[in-house]
Amino acid sequence: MNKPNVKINYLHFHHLLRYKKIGLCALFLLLVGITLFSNYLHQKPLLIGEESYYYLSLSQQDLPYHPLTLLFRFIPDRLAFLFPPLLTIGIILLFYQLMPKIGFSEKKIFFTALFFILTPAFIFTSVTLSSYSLFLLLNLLAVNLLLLETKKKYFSLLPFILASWIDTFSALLLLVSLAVYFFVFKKSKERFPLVLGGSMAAVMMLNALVLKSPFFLGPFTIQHKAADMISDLGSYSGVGVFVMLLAIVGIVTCWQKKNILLMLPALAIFIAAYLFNTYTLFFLSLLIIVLAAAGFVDLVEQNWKLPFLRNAVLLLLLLGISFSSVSYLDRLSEYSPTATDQKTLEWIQRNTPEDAVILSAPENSYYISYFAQRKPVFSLHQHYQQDYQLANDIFTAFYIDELFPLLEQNKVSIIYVSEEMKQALPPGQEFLFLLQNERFKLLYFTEEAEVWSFEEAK
Amino acid sequence: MKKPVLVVGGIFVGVLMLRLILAFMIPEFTYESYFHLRQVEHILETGLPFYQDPLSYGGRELAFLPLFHYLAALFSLLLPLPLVAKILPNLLTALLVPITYLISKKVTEHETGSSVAAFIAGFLPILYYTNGFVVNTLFLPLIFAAIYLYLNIEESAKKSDPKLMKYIYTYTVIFFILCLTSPLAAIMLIGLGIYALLSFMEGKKIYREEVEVMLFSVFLYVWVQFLFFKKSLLQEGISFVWQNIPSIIIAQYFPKFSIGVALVLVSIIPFLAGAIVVYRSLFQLKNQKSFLLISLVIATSALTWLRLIRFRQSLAFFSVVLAILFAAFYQDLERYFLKTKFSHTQKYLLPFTVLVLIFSTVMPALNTALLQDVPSTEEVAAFIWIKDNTPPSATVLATLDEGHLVTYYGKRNNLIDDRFMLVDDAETRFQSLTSLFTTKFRTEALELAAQYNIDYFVLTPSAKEKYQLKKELPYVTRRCFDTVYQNETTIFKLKCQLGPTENE
Repeated sequence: MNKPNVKINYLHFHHLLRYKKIGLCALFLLLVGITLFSNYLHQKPLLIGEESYYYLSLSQQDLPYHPLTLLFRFIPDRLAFLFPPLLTIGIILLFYQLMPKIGFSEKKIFFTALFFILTPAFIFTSVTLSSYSLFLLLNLLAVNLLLLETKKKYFSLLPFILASWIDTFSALLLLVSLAVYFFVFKKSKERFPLVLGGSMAAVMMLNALVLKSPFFLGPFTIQHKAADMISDLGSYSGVGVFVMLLAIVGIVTCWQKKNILLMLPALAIFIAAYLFNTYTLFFLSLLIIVLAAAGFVDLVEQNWKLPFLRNAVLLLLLLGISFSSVSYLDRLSEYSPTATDQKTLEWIQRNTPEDAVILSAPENSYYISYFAQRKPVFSLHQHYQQDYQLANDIFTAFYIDELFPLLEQNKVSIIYVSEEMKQALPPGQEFLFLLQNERFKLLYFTEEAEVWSFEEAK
Repeated sequence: MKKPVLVVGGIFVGVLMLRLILAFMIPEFTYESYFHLRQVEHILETGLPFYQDPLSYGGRELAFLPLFHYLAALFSLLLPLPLVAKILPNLLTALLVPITYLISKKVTEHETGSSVAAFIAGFLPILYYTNGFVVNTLFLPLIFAAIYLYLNIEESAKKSDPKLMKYIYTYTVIFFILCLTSPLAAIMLIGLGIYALLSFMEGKKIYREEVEVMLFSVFLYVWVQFLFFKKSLLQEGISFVWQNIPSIIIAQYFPKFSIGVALVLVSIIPFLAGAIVVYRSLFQLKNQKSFLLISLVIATSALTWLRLIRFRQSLAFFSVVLAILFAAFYQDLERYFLKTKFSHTQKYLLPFTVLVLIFSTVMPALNTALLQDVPSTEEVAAFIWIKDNTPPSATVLATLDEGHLVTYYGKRNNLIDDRFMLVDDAETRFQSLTSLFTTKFRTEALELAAQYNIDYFVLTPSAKEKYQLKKELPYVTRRCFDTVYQNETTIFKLKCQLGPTENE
């Protein structure tokens, strides 16, 4: 690649690069601050997302053991909203600490961090409790310690072991990465890699076989594999179209470099994992932003024959990426749980029997467990296919002959119809229409939500 | 003045005159045109298009690129809109004649072949919807102008010509305008991608300037579409490509590729010649000059086959590319004749070609123009009657095609029209529309009418033909409907509603 004009090319970003850490942290705090403030204004719970409430409700129970649930036995729930942003700040600072040590250029570090902050997938994990976010932080911390190359590197054992406790997939990923690092790149003959690998494998096996941790964590929402990856197509999180395009540029420019041998297998693994379970989008997004940053830096550093086109392209890219983020922030403020969800579910907690089984949209299950402290019908992260099919059968049933056996089999006694369900389900037919049957009794209603009881057959 | 300028200028003027004569022979416009006419009228009144349309679907949000409408509004400052709507699309389509000539000349450097290509472009049957005031009429000359400029950029980069910057600036402006005109500009980008791939496979050098122009084009296109269609993208996701068209009629908009229909609409001679040129360029001659055009043919064919662009739009684009490729075919034919014993007959090749083209292209083109699907004057009169004789808040039932007539002439709410994007219940409304024109049961009709607050039912001869109605709507009775307008078109006013029966 021709790079004689690098200094001139970076003139536009000079100021940004000079005050990079302050700038990045300020930008991050602004984005998270807007979301939290918006939630506060709408009287919504500050913490959003299904996964957050999955951990918070689990932390009230004895099992299973998970780093996040153990942590939230000590941290009060009302302070939980502070945990995700702190985690992200930790990730950014540790990333800045680590990357120069492994030969990343200053510009690539800056743009990777910038895209990390602006990418919807990570904006989302900054306001929700995310295991993979914790996994990333623990890994960055561990690798920083590992590279100390003195006895201090033994301190990396703890974060590595904690990181391999999340789920089997991430633990395997970590084990393979460390094996490649120690035995292919470093050709290490020390005892440390064996101790580290052995401990991590033991934790992984214990977690999978004894504590019955899943291979993949999640999903906590209904998956839409075609669209979940791109936030601009209305997905729950994902990456923006412009970052995706830049990642393609990144792959093309990396093609003749050594690191493509690492990038391509990683990309293949993450895409395959995403197709199995969209919750692993976190890893795929991470790789995409690294490739996008490589692509962006390459575009800036290329010796363009038509400089005005370069300026136009860079401007379009930065505007495009920013628009994706702003557009996502706008949607994020509408994410559940809403104030109505909280209020209604707390009403259910006070006014229904403790053994009641609650039917609602599968995504609401985790809010039901936490706010209503009742058993939901669905738990997507445990038996996704089965629950997906059941939800489909229940909410698209045309006749009571189809619906009632399903409700009876699942011991449904209370039905929570949220605002989102009211908008999504057809009003004059199927499930909402069947609620007019005499076996359903309206217990509680507001303009946005309803609670019904399902009576036993006489 | 040079001879080619005179020839091409002559073809251009001839084509424009013929198009205008045909356009003025038919008083009305194609159904789709009324949507665009309404947008232009609104721009003239307020300076902005109708992005919040209070009448379509009884009030909805619209998403579209507005440049065509602004251009028409600009011309409407000088001339009355109905006149602009007749002249502007035909003037723009006729511009394809000189553009085709320039591209053909660039690719073949053959004067006569390029002039024949320009002649074909002037008489392609698919472009003879002379009464269509539609965006495609601006899109086609713009995309071919962009292709011409790209070919110049490639050539100038190769020769390090100082004119390069001039071409790049012009390309940038034209491509920006193209992005603001139609999302179909994606054809150009996909074509450029295939061109890069073909060039790589055939060992053709791609210059840095070309790569930079491609990158700029991709990012600019995505950015503009993102700005205008953000909401549709978020709401409809990947299905955005199919514009939320109800599944029942999607096959009508994206029919399977039919060679028979293509032969008629593109015309048989350019179609066959184009196929031969593509085959020879790719597999025999490895002619790199045609790579871009061939890539565009591949891109359009693939997109049509995958049902990503509408059949008629893709055929229109495809046919102009084939017209350009005809120049290469003519050049090859001329060379071939010179090598045979009949070389002395070569002077008859041009008149013979023109004669064949007149029969195979000009005649079908005239036929297409005369058989355009437009509302009759009587039907239009019925919709104008609605404006003068019904309350402003009334909702009027008409067919899908006539939806824009309700809003344009009648200035009343319609049940449905063919702009489906951003409509939540397009599928249900379309089913209801079909039921309202086909059901025999009054209760069903009244229930649907009540659901959509329909007050007036318009039954035009076109609607009767479409739904194969012999006389009237089967459920219309004097007790429930007043006939408020009676001509070839009938308008009924609904006067009863579903409710408890008297016995109850």
